[in-house]
This record gives sequence, C-alpha cells and structure tokens, in this order.
Amino acid sequence: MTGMTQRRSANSEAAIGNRTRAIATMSPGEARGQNKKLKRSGSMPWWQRFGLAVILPVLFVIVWQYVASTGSFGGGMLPTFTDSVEALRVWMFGQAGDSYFAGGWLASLGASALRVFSGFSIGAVLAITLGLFSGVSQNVRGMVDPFITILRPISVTAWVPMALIIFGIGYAPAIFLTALGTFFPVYVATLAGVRYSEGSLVHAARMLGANKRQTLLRVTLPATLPSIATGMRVAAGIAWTCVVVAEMLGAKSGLGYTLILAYNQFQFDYIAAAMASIGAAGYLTDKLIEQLIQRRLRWAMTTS
Amino acid sequence: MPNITVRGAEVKFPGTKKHSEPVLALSDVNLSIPDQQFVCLLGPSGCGKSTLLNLIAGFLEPTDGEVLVDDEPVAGPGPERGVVFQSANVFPWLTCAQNVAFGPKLRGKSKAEVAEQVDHYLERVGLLPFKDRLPMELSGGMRQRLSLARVLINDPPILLMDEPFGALDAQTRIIMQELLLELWERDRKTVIFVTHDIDEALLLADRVYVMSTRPGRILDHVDVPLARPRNYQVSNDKAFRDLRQSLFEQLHDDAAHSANVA
Repeated sequence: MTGMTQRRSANSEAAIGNRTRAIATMSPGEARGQNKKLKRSGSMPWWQRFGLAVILPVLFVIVWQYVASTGSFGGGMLPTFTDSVEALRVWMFGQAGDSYFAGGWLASLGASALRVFSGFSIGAVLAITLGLFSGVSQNVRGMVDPFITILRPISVTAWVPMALIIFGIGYAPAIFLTALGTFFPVYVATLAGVRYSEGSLVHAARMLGANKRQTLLRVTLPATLPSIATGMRVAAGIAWTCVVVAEMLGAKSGLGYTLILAYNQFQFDYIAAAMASIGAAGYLTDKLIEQLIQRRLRWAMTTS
Repeated sequence: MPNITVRGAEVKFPGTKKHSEPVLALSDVNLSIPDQQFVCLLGPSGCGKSTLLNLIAGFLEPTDGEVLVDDEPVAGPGPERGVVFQSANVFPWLTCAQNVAFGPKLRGKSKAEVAEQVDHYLERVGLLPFKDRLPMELSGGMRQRLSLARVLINDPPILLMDEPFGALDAQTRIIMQELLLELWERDRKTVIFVTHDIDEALLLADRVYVMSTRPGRILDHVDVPLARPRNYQVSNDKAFRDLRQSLFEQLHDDAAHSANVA
C-alpha cells in the first residue's frame, strides 16, 4: 500500500518537474522504488541502453540467417542475411558488370526521395492552407469538410490504377499519390489544432489591434504549428508508403521499382536490400522533421 | 475624454441542450464611468462581472441594451481598450520583447522603430533583463507583468482587467497591485478591474460596484474616499476596515439570500 503511494508521488513529482519528453521516455522500472531521488532517462549508462536495444535485432538476424540457410521457409528461396548485405553492397558500390542493379542505389534513392519531397510538400501546403481556412470559417468548413470526409476512407492504394490512367507512368502518379496520402493527416491535424487554439489567444490578438488576416497569420498559424508538426510526422511515414506502392506499379525508377524488379527477376536478396533502404530513408525523414520541430517549437515542449 | 456608458445591458446565453433553459448572465446593467476613474467590479463567481467586462472589451454583444465608449457603440475589440486576462495569454512562441512589440508591429512599425519603446515598457514592469526569454521561462507573476506591458505600449485610454492577479500567490499579488497603482498614478487611465477580493477592490478603486448572481446585476456602488497615492499600508486605516466590513456584510447577506432561494 505504501509502495503504491510512493510510486504515485514519484510520478507526480516527475509530472511537475520535468518535461513531457522525460516522462514519456521514463520506463516504469525507473519510477518505481526511487521515492526520494528521481532517476532520469539520461542517467542509464550508454552501454546498458545500447545493450538492451541491440538484443532483439541481433536475435532477429541470427534466426533469419539460420532459417534462410536451412531453406525450411519460403520453398528455399528466402535470401540469407549475408547475401542481402552483399546485394546491398553491390547495389551501392558495385561496378557495371557485377549485377544488373550494380551502382544504381543512389539514383534509386534520389528518385524516390524527390517524389516524396515533391508530393509531401504539395500535399502539406494544400492541407495546411485548407485546414486553416476550414478552422476559422464556418462556411469553408461546411463546404470542404463533408467532401473530405467522403474521400478520406478511399485508401491511397485504391487510387493507384486511377492515378496511372490520369498521369501515366513516371513521376507524376507517384507525386500525386504521395500528396494525397500526405494531405489527409495534415488536414485533420491542422483543423483540430486551429479549433483548439481558437479563443483566448485570438481574443488577445484582437484587443491588441489585429485584423482578421493578421490574427490568422500571426496567431492562429503559429498556435497551430505544434499540431501541424504532429500531422506532418505521421504524414511523412505515409508518404514513403505511398511512393513505394506507386513505384511498384507505375514507375521505371526508385526504391519501390527496384523492389518489384528484384522480385520479378528472382533476385530475392535485392528485395531485402531495398526494404532496408526504404526503412532507413523513412527513419531519416522522420529524424529530419523531428529536428526541425525541436528547433522551431521549443516553446511548445513543456507541460505547462 | 473616453467615458464608458452601459445602458440596460442584458446578456442571455442560449441553453446548450434541447430542453435546458437559456441562462440570464446579465440583467439590466447600468453603468457610467467617467474618464480616468479606477473602477472595481466586485462579486462572487458567476455574478457576470467577467461577462460585463467582455461586453465593454467587445468580445461579446449584449442581447439587449447598449454599451457605449465615447458615445459610440462598441463594435468588437480594439487597441484603445487594452485587456489583461486572468491567465496571462501572452503568445508563447514570442520572446518577451516580441510580445510587447506585437501591437505596434501590427500597425506597420519596424522592429528598429519600436525597439526603444519596447525596452521602456519592459523596464517599467521590471522585465528588461528577460527581454529575450520565452514566456515559459517566466513565473506566473512575470507573465502577468508581460501581458500588462504589451497592452501599455498601445497606450490605451481604457484598461480592462479580468481578475488579473487571481491566480498569483499572496505575496506576488501585493507586489503586482502596488505596481499597478504606481503605473496608474503616472498614466491615469480609465480602469475597470474585476475581482472577488474585497481588500483588492478597496486598495485599488475610486469606486466599487457590488454585483450579485442569478441573474448577474449591479446591487450597489461604494465610493472609496482613501487618499492617493496608496500602498499596502492603507489596509490599516479605519476607513478601509469600515468599508471592508460593510462590503463583506453586503456580499454575505446576498450570498446567504441566494443560497436560500436555491
């Protein structure tokens, strides 16, 4: 019983004293039994954190290598881990004679990244603009929101054939699908953010002399940025999904195209290499956005 | 000469659900506040004192009656009526200096043009050393001083204050009250100050309007004859204590009465 109370008081101390991030990263084990001195996540030694993080990936690789080399899964066609690493090496640094894919990695990554960047930018700008206007104007919301509610349940993958009919093969359908996939989460987050930030700060701006346009640009938009940022992080993950699907079906370049080409040519080790590349690209995109957010939105990082 | 006139003002909020009755927040409120008067609206929570302030600020329209400033009906908020809210409501993404510069910059002044003024007003509320800090790095009292500075830089003839020190601890509140008195002695703006604290009302005001609940209305007004400039010592005066006693009884009787009715 007393242990329970102590634990609870340790938690509330954390809620008051620390930033949300510290609480989110604090494991239950750290909160327990430290009723006087609260341990922070940073106080775990680096080798312990590294050791814990590495256990599952290492186990995964060992099982993968074993299963693939015995040939007991996937009719013996599962590529081994070591073959896949070798494929990635050749794909990245190989000479023209080594393989059909040799040396093409950077170009593939570049093509996909360009599509993600273009589609994401277009989708996000449209979503933020429309979300802001929907948030502040009942008329715009009344017109736009029902239409978006109808379109939203149609998954981006369902749009692929239509996008290919409209835009043909190449960059355009991938950019369209990525923009579409980006639009919905950013729009929803922007609208929710505007409606949440309406009120007191808008009153403050108005009594200081701001007109409607100034209030929108100088108060509503910055107040909504944390919400927009959250939507954009979700959207970035979706954007990479969209681009891979689009490239598999309607492009002649990019990581998704390599993925499906390797499948069709029975070069299964390149499938794993492409998957790893897509994962790394998505991870880096997320980190990049996180960095931008942390730099610009320091004011929104506290609990109070 | 900005004077504020409220004539027969009524505010009725529609019921939120299908069958709930509309709420009469203010009923038949009449006020006439001359230029440079410091007025307190005193009453328990729910008496509509903030609603009345929001009418004058222009955040709200009366469902009946009229609100005039300088004989012109109030149409929306404006920089000639500065508002200090209960929670500071400063812009959390702007530094102290940027918060204070917000008003002048809306009118197209450049950063360089307002820099000197910004420093001056930050100095007056004691925040100059913190000019490049974000509001989250300030204490509650400092944030409230910041919200005062960003209003004062607009030099509004009318200052509307909605329980601005209600969320502060007792010591900070006294310091803020004395700061406000000091600023008022220099500028002599018309101030309408909402509070439920009798001592605060008597320390600050020339005239105290006593308000009552269900429906919100003005019961009475009391003129405070205490000499100015005032500071916290004024609470030792006999006149102060007599007024406090009579206001307390008035509020207590009214609260007891409405408790019986309910």
